[in-house]
Amino acid sequence: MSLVSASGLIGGFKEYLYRGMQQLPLVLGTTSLIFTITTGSMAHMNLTLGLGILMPLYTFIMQMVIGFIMNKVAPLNRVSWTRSTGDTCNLIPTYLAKPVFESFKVDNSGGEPVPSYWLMSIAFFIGYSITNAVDNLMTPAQPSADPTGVEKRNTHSIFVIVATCAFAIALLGIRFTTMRGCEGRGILGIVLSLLSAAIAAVIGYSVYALSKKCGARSSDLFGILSQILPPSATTANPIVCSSD
Amino acid sequence: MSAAKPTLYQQFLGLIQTTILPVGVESLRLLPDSIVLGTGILAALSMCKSYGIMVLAMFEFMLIQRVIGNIVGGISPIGAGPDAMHQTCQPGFNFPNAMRISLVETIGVPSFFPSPVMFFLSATISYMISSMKEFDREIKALGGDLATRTTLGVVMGFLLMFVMLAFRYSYGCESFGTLLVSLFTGGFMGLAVLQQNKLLFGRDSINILNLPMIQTMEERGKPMFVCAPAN
Repeated sequence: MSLVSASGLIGGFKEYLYRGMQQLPLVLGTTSLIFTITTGSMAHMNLTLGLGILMPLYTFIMQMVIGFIMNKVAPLNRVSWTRSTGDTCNLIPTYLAKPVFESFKVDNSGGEPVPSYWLMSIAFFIGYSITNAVDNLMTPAQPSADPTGVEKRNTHSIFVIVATCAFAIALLGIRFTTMRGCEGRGILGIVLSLLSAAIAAVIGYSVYALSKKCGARSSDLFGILSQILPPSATTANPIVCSSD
Repeated sequence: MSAAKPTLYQQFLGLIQTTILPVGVESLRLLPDSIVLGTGILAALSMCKSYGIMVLAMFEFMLIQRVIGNIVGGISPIGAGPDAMHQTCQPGFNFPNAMRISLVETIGVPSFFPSPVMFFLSATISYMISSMKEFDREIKALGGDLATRTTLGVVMGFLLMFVMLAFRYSYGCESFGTLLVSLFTGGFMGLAVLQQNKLLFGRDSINILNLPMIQTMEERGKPMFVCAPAN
């Protein structure tokens, strides 16, 4: 059997990225889980817990709250505050999905309250990542640190901030244009989704801040702060001289 | 007459069967492809050399699986499970029109031996755990919470592989022998590729924990000399 052709690979790669993006919360969650299991990384453990437990619960609560309030306030205008739940928006394929949680529910009866689990988990990831990258940049260097190393760290941190922002903008842009309706079928739904996403990002920030209290070295996802030697390793060691 | 209200236990069971199980099954089914994409995203965002090299290593695992699969398949097609064509046994991303796309079966090859999923995961996990073992010296020097990581990683890695093996076997994707041999072959390949990357790209290329590296003066090309007093 010959290797697949280059054009076939490129076409397939595009399809792969598209569907990968649709299932991105599962992709990020399982990747973090594997890193947590094999390396015991605190940063990945934070992401696993956030994407696997915190965000489904948060999404469920927000959907209940928004659904309850909007059913009282605008019961006749459901289209404006619900989201589509067709094949394009589903996280779990139809043959597997019969869930109870609204977060994963497949429904073809005319929409479910915003927000979606997809947006909440991505907002959480972005919140965590950007906080991590900014912290990498803002953490002061040791007075005895090598200036070249400090400059290198700052450049790397700035690149990570820019890359994370660009990734976030591209991801949300694609989601809101090519997967229209998944985050709200009307303007009110989209606004409520974005507000909920802002809170999810703040949760991401809070998880990083909490984790940092256990040591920033362990909670660094990008491997910038974790590469700095602890002060005890950089101080001059005492020298003992013996007569022989 | 109204139906009896479900007990708390029945509700809990319902929650597991209808919510947690589908998400868990889909996550395990996606695992080989999702870890490639997930690590790729992390590598692109962080510009971290070790993550980038790890993504390349994953592609290498797929190519190795392709080579072994073609050789073994050419001799004797073996190892299919009783329900090999079940949808849960098929890795990769599914589309609503029943189309499926999987890197593991595009760069690799759909084969009964070695099992693409088991081989790939075993190789990847073996690569990650061994890379951590390579930094034992640093982990010991940094001490504290890092010291328990290696042991924990090995134990949890084996547990994960056991879960994956049980998952594939219980769904009838491959026979037990195929899964077991794929697991060992993958584990060995993970170790081999790690050593290859260490030789080709240097020790920092396999530093997936991003630990500060300790280098002896000799490794830095500055050997130390002990000067004896002149008599």
